[in-house]
Amino acid sequence: MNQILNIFRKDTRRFWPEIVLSLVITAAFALIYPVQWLPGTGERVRELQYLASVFTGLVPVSWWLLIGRVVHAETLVGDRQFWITRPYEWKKLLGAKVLFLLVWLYLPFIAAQSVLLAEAGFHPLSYVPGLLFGLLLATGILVLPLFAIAAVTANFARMTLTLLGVLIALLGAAFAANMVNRYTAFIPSSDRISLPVMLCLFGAVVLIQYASRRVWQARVLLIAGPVLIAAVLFAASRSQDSLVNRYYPLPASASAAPFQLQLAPDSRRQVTDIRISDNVKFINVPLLVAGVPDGYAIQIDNLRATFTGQDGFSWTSPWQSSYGQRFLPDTEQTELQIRIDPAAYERLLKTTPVSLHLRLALTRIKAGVTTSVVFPRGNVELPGFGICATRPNFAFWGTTDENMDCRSALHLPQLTYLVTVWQDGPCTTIQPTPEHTAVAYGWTGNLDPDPAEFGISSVWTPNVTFSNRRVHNGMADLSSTRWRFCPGVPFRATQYHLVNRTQASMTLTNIVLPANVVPTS
Amino acid sequence: MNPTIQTHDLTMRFGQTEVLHEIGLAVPEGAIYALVGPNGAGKTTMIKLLMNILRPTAGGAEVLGVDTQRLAGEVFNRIGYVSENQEMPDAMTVEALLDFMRPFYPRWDRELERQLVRQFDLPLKRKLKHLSRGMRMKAAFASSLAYRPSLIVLDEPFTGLDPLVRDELIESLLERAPETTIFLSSHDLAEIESFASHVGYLEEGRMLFSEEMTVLSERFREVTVTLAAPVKLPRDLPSAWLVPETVDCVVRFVHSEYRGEASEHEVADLFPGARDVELESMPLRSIFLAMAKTGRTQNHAAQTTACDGRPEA
Repeated sequence: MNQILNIFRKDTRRFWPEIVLSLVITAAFALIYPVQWLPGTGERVRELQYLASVFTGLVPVSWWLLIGRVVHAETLVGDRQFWITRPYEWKKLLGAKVLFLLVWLYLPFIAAQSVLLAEAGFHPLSYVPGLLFGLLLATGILVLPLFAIAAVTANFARMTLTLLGVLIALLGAAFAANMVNRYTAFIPSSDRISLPVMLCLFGAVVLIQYASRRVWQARVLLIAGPVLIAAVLFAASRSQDSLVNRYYPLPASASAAPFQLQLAPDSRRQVTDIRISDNVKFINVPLLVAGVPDGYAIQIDNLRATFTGQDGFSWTSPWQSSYGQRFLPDTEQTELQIRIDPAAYERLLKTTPVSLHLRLALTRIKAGVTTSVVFPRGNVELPGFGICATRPNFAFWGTTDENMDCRSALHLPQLTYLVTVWQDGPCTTIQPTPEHTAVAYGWTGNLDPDPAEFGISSVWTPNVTFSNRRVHNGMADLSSTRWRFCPGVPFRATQYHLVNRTQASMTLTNIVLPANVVPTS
Repeated sequence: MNPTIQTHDLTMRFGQTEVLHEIGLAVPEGAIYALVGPNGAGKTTMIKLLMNILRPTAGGAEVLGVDTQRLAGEVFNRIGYVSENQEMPDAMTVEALLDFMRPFYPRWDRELERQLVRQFDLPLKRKLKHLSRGMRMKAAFASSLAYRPSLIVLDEPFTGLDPLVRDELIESLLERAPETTIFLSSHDLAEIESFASHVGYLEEGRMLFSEEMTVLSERFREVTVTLAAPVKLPRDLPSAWLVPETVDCVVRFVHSEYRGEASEHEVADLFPGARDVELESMPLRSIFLAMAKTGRTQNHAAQTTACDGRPEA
């Protein structure tokens, strides 16, 4: 312990300018960040919001500085460092570096996160497990990778160059993945695997270096590990069928489909196509929905479509995300958007109408706690969701209207269905008549069960988008009504929880594909 | 008594280049062992292997009874290591360095530390990066001697230092000599000849000899044979006769296996018409040069000249 404290004291004395700089950045971030929650109605506020964004970005930069400097104080690369022939014990040296980061990085960071929680109206002591889990995420995503890069580089300049190289490689990989894999299915468990993998990989690099200073082994692991993971992910993405089958098991029997879809074109709702580019084309298929049991909802995560023409020509899409479309028991209609290969589409057009076989990867969710309130003026705490308020929303044309503004602690809220009432007059109107009101509803949050998500800020601002924000007043009247969310309206929030993930199949026949191609640009 | 340092077939390769070849070495406790050799002979690599800074390709070594590949942590309480090209914590003052090092060593002698600071006239408040090369080396010595290590390992410690500083450092080493083993590398023979008890000669990664200085001095003789008439050097000279040459009627060589009368008879047998044979003991520098020249002229015929000084046809 003496050796740990001795090295810690030495590092603290030596790096006090870096420590002070990091503390100033963290403190400024904690003090300024709450302006992000203010409505952006003034030049001054917007300037402060910009400044808050800058300081949010500077926090990880200060970590890079602290980690790089403290690790390179006893650099692990090279054969000329004076400390390697001194009685340093590697566990104590590593312990001293960890202690340094605990005191000068984690402690200020968790203090800043607690200040932000308190500022947002949450009691920090109620969120200790979440705060600690957030630190674990920060460790796996930022601290440990920076530590590992510092451990395999000889000095701060080389670490910085390596970091730039890593960022460029990540951007290149993301670009390449986007080019190669245009259809991407949503896989729900990917985040749960990546954190332990990152902790193990970067932890192993750090341990190898401190225990044995086998620089090339550590470097090879640091490079080969992510490359291997990327290769596995790439291979997995090429066999998405098995991946989807793994996370969305096929039902035991064909009759177990949790809901039904039926083709529902009528004079107003036809199958339409959207051509984004020569290579990207979607069709929208109008459907009737039935059979969702009371107290449940169905979320479509991915779909796989097989079109079969009259002449037997068939084209099957890869799995593609359908962005979590959700159906409630009272949902009657929907539209499925299906990405289709333009060449296949042209071929199918010759034999339209076609049949469409759908394989759907579904998440069944169940209604839980419902909170009903008359929405007050000022803040209201919705249990399990966060703190919400109405607020005047800035509009570029100089007017303001009312919207809903929420903050949640440490992560986006549990998936929640919100129902309330719009009104088309100013919020000063007392008791608007029914013809000036409309039901508004919307989903927000997610099904992630973790107690925190990674973020520099501990306070999240879930995006609450209600339906029917603007309603056109008819063909004769080209204006639209802009609804307002006002204090005093009834408000209901129902949390939904995961039941299971499964698949369903259904076949729709007699689909007439539109011949006219409408470029959207 | 176990040697303080012992190596067995210690071999080091960097890629295809063999830097050390099967080195066998034993440094007895209490010795002042000088590892000498020309630049690039492998001295620094050898020391880095002994200090577990590098790992050998083959073979092994023990230092203070510990396998060098396990040399870490506590065992360095008993080892003081100073190298000419060591990266010191330059941002620290001398005082901060000593303060920082002190808790690492249970046997740190505060009084000895003060004595070394006085002896070296170290400026405690100055940062290492602002010190001269000599002062930096003195600070390194002070921080490596104050805990009375059992073994002091020095890699070219006096290179580039002025004679005064060099003498101060040597003096401080000799003061520690009774209680410690010293292993140092150098290519400056004059500076180590005065105090080394043992010497090893390394050339192109091979240990050509490793023995006590007294034995070495006994073993090497510079032999001058004066002949009645010029002769051509015989082709089959004994391999222990190094750098043989003839000038006029004089033949000179270095006998590297001198054994008293037996060696004198051997010379007399090969040069029966010799008018005079002189055998002189040699300084280490001359031995070193003879060994170095032998290494460089290996596979080349010895140069011979006629008695009148013209090259022999």
